[in-house]
Amino acid sequence: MSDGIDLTELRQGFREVLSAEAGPERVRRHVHEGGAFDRDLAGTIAGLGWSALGVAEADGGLGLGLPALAVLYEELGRGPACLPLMTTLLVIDALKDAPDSVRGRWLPPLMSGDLFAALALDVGLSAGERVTGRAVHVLHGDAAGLFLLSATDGRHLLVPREAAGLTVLPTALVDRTRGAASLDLSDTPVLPVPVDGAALRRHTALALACDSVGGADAILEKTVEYLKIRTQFGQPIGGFQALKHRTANHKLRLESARALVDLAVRGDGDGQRVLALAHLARAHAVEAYVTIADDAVQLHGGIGFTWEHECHHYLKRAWLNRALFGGEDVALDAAAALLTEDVA
Amino acid sequence: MTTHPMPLDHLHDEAAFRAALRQWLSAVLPGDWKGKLVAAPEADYVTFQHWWFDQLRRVGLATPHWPRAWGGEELSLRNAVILNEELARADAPRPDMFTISLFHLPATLFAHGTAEQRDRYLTGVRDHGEVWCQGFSEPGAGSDLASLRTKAEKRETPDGRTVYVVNGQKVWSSYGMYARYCLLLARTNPQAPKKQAGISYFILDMDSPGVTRRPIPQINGGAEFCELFLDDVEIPAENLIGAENDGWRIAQSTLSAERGLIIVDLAARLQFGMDMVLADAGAGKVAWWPDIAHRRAYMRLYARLLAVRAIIDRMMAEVIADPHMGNSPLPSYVKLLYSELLHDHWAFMLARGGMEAQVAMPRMTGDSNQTTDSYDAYLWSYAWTISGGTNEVLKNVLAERVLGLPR
Ligand SMILES: Cc1cc2nc3c(=O)[nH]c(=O)nc-3n(C[C@H](O)[C@H](O)[C@H](O)COP(=O)(O)OP(=O)(O)OC[C@H]3O[C@@H](n4cnc5c(N)ncnc54)[C@H](O)[C@@H]3O)c2cc1C
Repeated sequence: MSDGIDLTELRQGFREVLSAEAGPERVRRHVHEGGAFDRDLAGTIAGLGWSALGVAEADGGLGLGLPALAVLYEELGRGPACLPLMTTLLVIDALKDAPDSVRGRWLPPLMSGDLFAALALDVGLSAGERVTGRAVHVLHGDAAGLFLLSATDGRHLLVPREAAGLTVLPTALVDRTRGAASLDLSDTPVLPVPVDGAALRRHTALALACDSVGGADAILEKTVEYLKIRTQFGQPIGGFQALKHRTANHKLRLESARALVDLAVRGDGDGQRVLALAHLARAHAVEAYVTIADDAVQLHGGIGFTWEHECHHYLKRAWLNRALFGGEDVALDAAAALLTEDVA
Repeated sequence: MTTHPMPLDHLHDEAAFRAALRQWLSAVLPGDWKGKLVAAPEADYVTFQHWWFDQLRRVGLATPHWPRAWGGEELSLRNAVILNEELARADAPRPDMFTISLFHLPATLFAHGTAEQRDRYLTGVRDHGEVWCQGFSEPGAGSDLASLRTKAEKRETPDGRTVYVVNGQKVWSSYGMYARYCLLLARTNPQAPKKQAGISYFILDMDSPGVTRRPIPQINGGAEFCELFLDDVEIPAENLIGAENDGWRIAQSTLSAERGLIIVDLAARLQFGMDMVLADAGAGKVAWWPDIAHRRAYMRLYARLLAVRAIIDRMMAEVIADPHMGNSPLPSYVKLLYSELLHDHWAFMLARGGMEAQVAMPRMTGDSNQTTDSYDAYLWSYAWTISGGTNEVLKNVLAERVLGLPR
């Protein structure tokens, strides 16, 4: 775990680098230019070794646990950073139980930032060592050189981008801070790897939850600042009670989400409950993010409706978080199933 | 000599503490205490509350959160959590009638009382179960409490005592019908430049001549609060808390107790109830559970509950580090999040109850913090969104003090 590392300092470090290298101007430019994968930025950031955060020290990583990764996801969400790091970190973590040969082959390029990875859950694939099937809307699939597919039959399969019979078709998302792709596999050779599926799902839910808390925090902060400086009717609009109450409600939503996410990241309790908690944290945090980002546009008035203003970066990312990896209904249903088995 | 196990003898060992609590609870708690209070006369409720307080007192569990210096147990955070969990699990009664006695009074006297006041009145609560009420609100002064008009005039009596003569009216005073004393705010300086600056804080003996109380029937058919009429009531000068005209500042200590701390065990109990629904759902005993929309709505409520409990844990850690909690926003987060969740939760359950829930049922006498009737609980949830500073007013404060928006 992250004993011995000061998470506040770690956060400060992430924030400084991200605001220098991936600040609002950079995000805006990226979005204006069409949101194609920004390899330069990705190289700069990944070169800092952040991808190695969760990797065991024996494998050349920093050996920090989920609490440290959670801080990184949150800071990436604040940007919102246009980087394919979330899925890369998820795949890296999923590979911790893979054989030496697999870790030796893939972890070094993933850690150095030469390679990014994407993850697809619940993919329907044919059986056997060569598989045929299709995965759509694969987050960061456009940028990835390596794919981890979690198949509906319970197998976890690694597929390099160069694999025979694999076609990667980039999909443009409305959220231009991120890319996606669809994968067509046709008699494609795959490498089965042992992965703790529950841990992977938990980590995925928490990554989305943290990204959402970070994004919600950032857009709320910016909105509150705007309410202090924008004057109408001879006063700052933040003095109008209708707006005060809305922002107070947003602050409560954010604090509630943050508390649940922290609890879920700590993850005390048995496996079922810990996984349920992650699903709940994801649904709760994403709901807060969508609600806050949605109202941020309205609270900014006309400027919030412009392409130029950053409100829509957060709004669109929030909605994408809601839909990703099965969507929030699936998360709520999973939590309900786990909790009723658990408590009964 | 008591024959019951003494839970406090086992504080060093969590499992043993828990086991002793369970043993004690099963030994003292009457099986159907709730049933016995349904449609019971008011007097039965009062007797039962006193009896339960006495049971708690005998094993040192009436004032577990008080500092040792004032005769409390100063339970560690961990032990306090265990205590709350076990009381919730047993669905043990809450000593609700003693709410002001256990929270508002000590929060006020610890910080602002004289040694004599603390000695006399905290001992009165701890050893004799004295009931207190709070006389803050008035017909014309609710959210705008500082505009209160009840007057206290300093006078010398013919026999040479200094007293304050009080005239005015107070409303919504919880447990005021049963209270022996009242925490009273009254105006001592009507000329003060700011209305906050002319208010003083008193201990009022409810048996003083000139005090009239009248119960106010409530939305759910109960009458947990009352109105107080004060006609030339004499309060001895030694019953002033703090300095004259410093009452507004002192009242903030009282109000901070109201937000947060008294919700700790209620939130634990709500979780216990929600976990029971999940257990029943798992066993196929919840009719609405197969409906996916209801199930998802319930999961969202459950997420909010876990979140508010996590914030409560943080608040408790803060309380231990700094009992006065300075300017922490956590108590108001807890008050706002819990009260809105409580309201939404019971509205959800009421809706699931369908026509069955619309049939009038006799209710438990007393307040409804522990009712099992969804309609009663739904109506009672307004007590938490209105009292202790309405949620609207607390949101004004949050927006201004926490977010820094202009006044
Ligand atoms: C169950 C219960 C128990 C109580 N127990 C006690 C007690 O023991 N002792 C005691 O002294 N008092 C007690 N109260 C009183 C309670 O503190 C007041 O009801 C509360 O402060 C609100 O005052 P009010 O009722 O006058 O409502 P008002 O202040 O008239 O409020 C009416 C509405 O206007 C809104 N409002 C008012 N001002 C503003 C503003 N500035 N901005 C936005 N909205 C505003 C309120 O939020 C509310 O929705 C109790 C109340 C209840 C319901």
